[in-house]
Formats: sequence, C-alpha cells, structure tokens
Amino acid sequence: MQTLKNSLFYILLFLIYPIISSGQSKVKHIQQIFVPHSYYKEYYTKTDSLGYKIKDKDTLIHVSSFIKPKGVGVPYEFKDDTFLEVYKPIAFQSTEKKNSDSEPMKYWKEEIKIYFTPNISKRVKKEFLRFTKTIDKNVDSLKVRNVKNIENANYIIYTNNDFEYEENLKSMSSGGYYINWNRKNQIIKGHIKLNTKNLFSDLVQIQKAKELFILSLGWFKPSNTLDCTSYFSNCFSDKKVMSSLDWEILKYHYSYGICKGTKISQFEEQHKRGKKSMKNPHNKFVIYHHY
Amino acid sequence: MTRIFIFITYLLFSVSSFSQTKISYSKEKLKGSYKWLDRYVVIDNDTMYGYNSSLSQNEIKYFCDNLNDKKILRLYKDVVYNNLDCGKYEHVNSKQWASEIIVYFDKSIPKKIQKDFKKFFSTIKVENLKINFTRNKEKSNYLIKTTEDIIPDLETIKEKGEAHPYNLVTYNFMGDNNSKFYSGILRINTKLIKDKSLILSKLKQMFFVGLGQFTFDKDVKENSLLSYKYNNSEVLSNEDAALLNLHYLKIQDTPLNCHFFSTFIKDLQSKCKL
Repeated sequence: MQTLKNSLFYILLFLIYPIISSGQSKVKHIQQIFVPHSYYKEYYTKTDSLGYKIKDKDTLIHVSSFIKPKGVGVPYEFKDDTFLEVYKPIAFQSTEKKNSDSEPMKYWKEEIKIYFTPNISKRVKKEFLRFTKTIDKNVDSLKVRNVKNIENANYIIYTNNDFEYEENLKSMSSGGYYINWNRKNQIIKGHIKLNTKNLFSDLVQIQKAKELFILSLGWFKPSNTLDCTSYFSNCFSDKKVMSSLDWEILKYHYSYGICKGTKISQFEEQHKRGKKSMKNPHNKFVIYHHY
Repeated sequence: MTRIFIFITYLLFSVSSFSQTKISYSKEKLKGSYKWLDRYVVIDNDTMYGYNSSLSQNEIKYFCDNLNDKKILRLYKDVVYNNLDCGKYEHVNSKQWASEIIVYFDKSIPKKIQKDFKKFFSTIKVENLKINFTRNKEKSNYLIKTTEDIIPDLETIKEKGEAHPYNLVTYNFMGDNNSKFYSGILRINTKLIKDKSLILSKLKQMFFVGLGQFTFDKDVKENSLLSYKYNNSEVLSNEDAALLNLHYLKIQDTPLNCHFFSTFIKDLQSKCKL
C-alpha cells in the first residue's frame, strides 16, 4: 500500500458487509467503511477510529464516514489477462538491473502541442497531422494539436538541416525520438528528428514520423510478438494502421481507470486487488487521482 | 566454444513438453516473446530464437518443383551467409525488403541507363518482392543517384580496377530491428568510371545484391549478377532467379540465420516427399 501511495494515487477499497439479522423477516444492510492506514493518517484524527482489521497484511481502519480526498475517483477498468500480457511489455520498459522492477510507465498529461520546422515538407506535415487528429479524437485524456509558434510547443519535429533541438538525437542516421518527463512520470517534452539524408522522400519520412510519434506517447517498447502492421510492433511495414488492438493499447494507457506512472509490480498488484474486489458485487474499486 | 544446437519441435503454448530437459531457459520469457511462433532453435543453452515456418500449399509446391536443388541451396547459403556449413558468422541474418520497392532515378543518371535498368528489372516476377518505378521522388523509397565520392575507401578494392563490382558504387539502406529494409540509396560515381558501359552493369549488380544483402561469388556463371566477371546479360540468369525466389519464398516474421535456414529447408524438403 505504501508503494501505491508513493505514486500519488490512492486505491480505495470499500468493503461493504451485508449483515443479515436472523430471525427477522426484514433484511437489514449495514455498510462498514474501512480505509488504509496511510489514508487514515492523512485524512482522519485519532478519535475517528472505530477499530481496525488486518487484511492481506494491510491494516485497515474502521471509520464511520468516508472523507473524500481532493481529486477525481474513476472506477477501476478491468482488462483480461490476454490483453494485459500484450500491454505490459509495451508499457513497462525493463530496468538495466536484473530481476528488478520495471521503469515506471510514462504518459502525457498536458496537451501535446506540435511545432514543425519549415524544413518538414507540407505533405509530411499534412499527413502527420491527419494521423494525430485521429489520436486526438479517439483517445480520451490525450490531446494533440499543431502550433505555429515554437514557443508554444512542447513537441518539435525537425530535420538534420535544422538547429539541433535535442542533443540526444544528434547521431541519428534515419530518425529518432526523445522525450523528457517529470518526477510524476508525466511526459513534458518531445522531439522527433528526421534525417533527410537517408529518409530522402516524403513517403519514408511520413512512415518514420508516425512510428516514432506513437512510441513517444508512452515511452513504449515495440513488441516482437505483434504483426508488423501494428504501430506497436518492432518491425517495419508500409501498411501500418492503427489496428483495433493498437487503439485498445493506447486507450488503455490513457485510461484513468488504472493508476498512472506506476511500475509493473504496482500495476499488477492493482489488478490483483481489482479482480478480487470485483468478485463481490457490493464492492467498488475506485482509482483516485489527485488534483 | 562448443556450440550446441538443438532443434525442438514446439507445440504452441506447450512450454513444458521439451524433449531436451538439459536446456535451461525462462519459460515465461518464451511464452511471452514467441507465442505466435512454432519453431525454435536453442543455442548455447540460453539463446532461443523462434520463427513461423508455415507456408501455403502453393509455396511448398513451388519450392519442391523449382528450388529443391542441392546446387541452388548450397549457393544460397554461400551468398547469403557466406557460410556453407553454418559453423561461423552465426550473427548473420538474412535481410529482406518487406515493402514494395519504389525506385526513383535521379536526373543525373543517364536516361539510356535508366531505361535499360527498368527493362531488366521489370521482367522479374518474384512472389513477395515487388519492384516498381516512379518519376516522383517523394513517392519513392529507393533512390539511385550519382556521387562524386570515391567509393570505397579500401585500397584493396581500388587496386582491383574499376570493373570490380564493389568499385565506385555503393548502397546505404535503412532497416528496422527485424532485418527488413524500408528505404535505400544506391550511389555511383559515374565521373570516375572510364568504361561507361560498366555503369549499367554496376547498377544492376549492386541493386540485385541489395535485394538480399547477397555477396559476390567466384563460382557462379558470368551471366549471374553475383559474378565478379558479370557479362551484363540482358536477362536474369536462371541461377539468380532461383536465388531470388528462394530468398523471397516467404517474408520471414523473424530473420533467419544459417541454422534457421537449414531447419526451414529441411521442413520444406520433408513436405516435398509427401
């Protein structure tokens, strides 16, 4: 529970125990509210405690009423294991250390404001924006638009003939992307560089730019197991399309029905609890996102 | 280092049914990484590669009728893996163009050369390999142009004279992480080539080599594009056609190294007998 707290999100588990008073014809439901100890310490005083219980090694405090934190609660989004087995290796980059947890997943919280340098051809720009428009339209919580002034941008698409906006992309032979994130694992800046010496035509520049852009939406790790036509695959195809699975991956990544910025262990723990909670129809499993 | 190669017939998801129990590897890794593949090769107890060996009945029939030839298969291993016995260069994977090749000629290439080049390669009919030409550079993914660079820098090749196929011509391809090319530039220094008849033959040879990262070979006939003494034949030789058909028999989900290729061929040959 402590690790989840560190990610600044709280998972609140409402345990509702129907108590049936035998011998009476009328069934009476009594709601008992338990909150995690860490949450209790933050939002309650000592006099609020009505008792406690230990559940799965966590201490839960019995309280009379629930104090909502500042933020928004979103119902947990269930996904089956087959989908999650595809999603996890894409969303969670492994660390360099053996047997350690993954790197935290990354996501854009702010709107992506793209600036194209004048060396990006009109055709590339037009086709690219057509692509990002579908993303903007189809994925909740992910907004993308074009800006004409570089000072308003948080995403720059440039070529080898431009100023080197991102030093880490200096030696790219074809093209590459680079993103920066903050301590909350929110991506705050992005760059795509196209080396037009090798990507010499609009056709190949468009293909490359789209591929890189998708990966930059979450520091995604391209998958070896997906068909090459998928934008999340590790191989090239001139027939790449956002398949239904691609959309599902992206929408899920930006769904607030799961915790954001977590490592894989936290993500898995969250699902374990979510699934367990769903077994009882009286339970609600809510992901709370702080303002 | 002793290399141990164990070929395992693998049923999808049945990770526990290995006949060679001494091989250790992560089952979870296997399941997660290769679940859509159906053939595996384990090398040195820890490296496992997988590929999908499925081919259609027509592809199998084509192989059995036209490509199941010892000489061709030996030549293929030689020019793709530079390695007849699969004992060295294990890191070498076959390379393919997974997308249609759309060629654009820079205006600096003489028109007659362009015309003859197009005529030659337009006649090639290979399943899974499409070559087309465009007059719009922006719609192309393969550029053929002249250069003033001296190619290559290697003195040993320069000394072999301008007729040597690697002299004064080179290519640079962009590829993905799966040994598939998606863009390329073929450059030739036409100014330094004294015998202008070599321009066409050099372009044809280098273009052909780039279709599969083939190497030139001493033992092929002179009408082969892989010959050091290529006679600039007007038609693709049967040998070259067979190599190309074998190389593009299937666009491989994962690139084949020499051992994979051997297994792939053994599979096919067993089906020829049915």
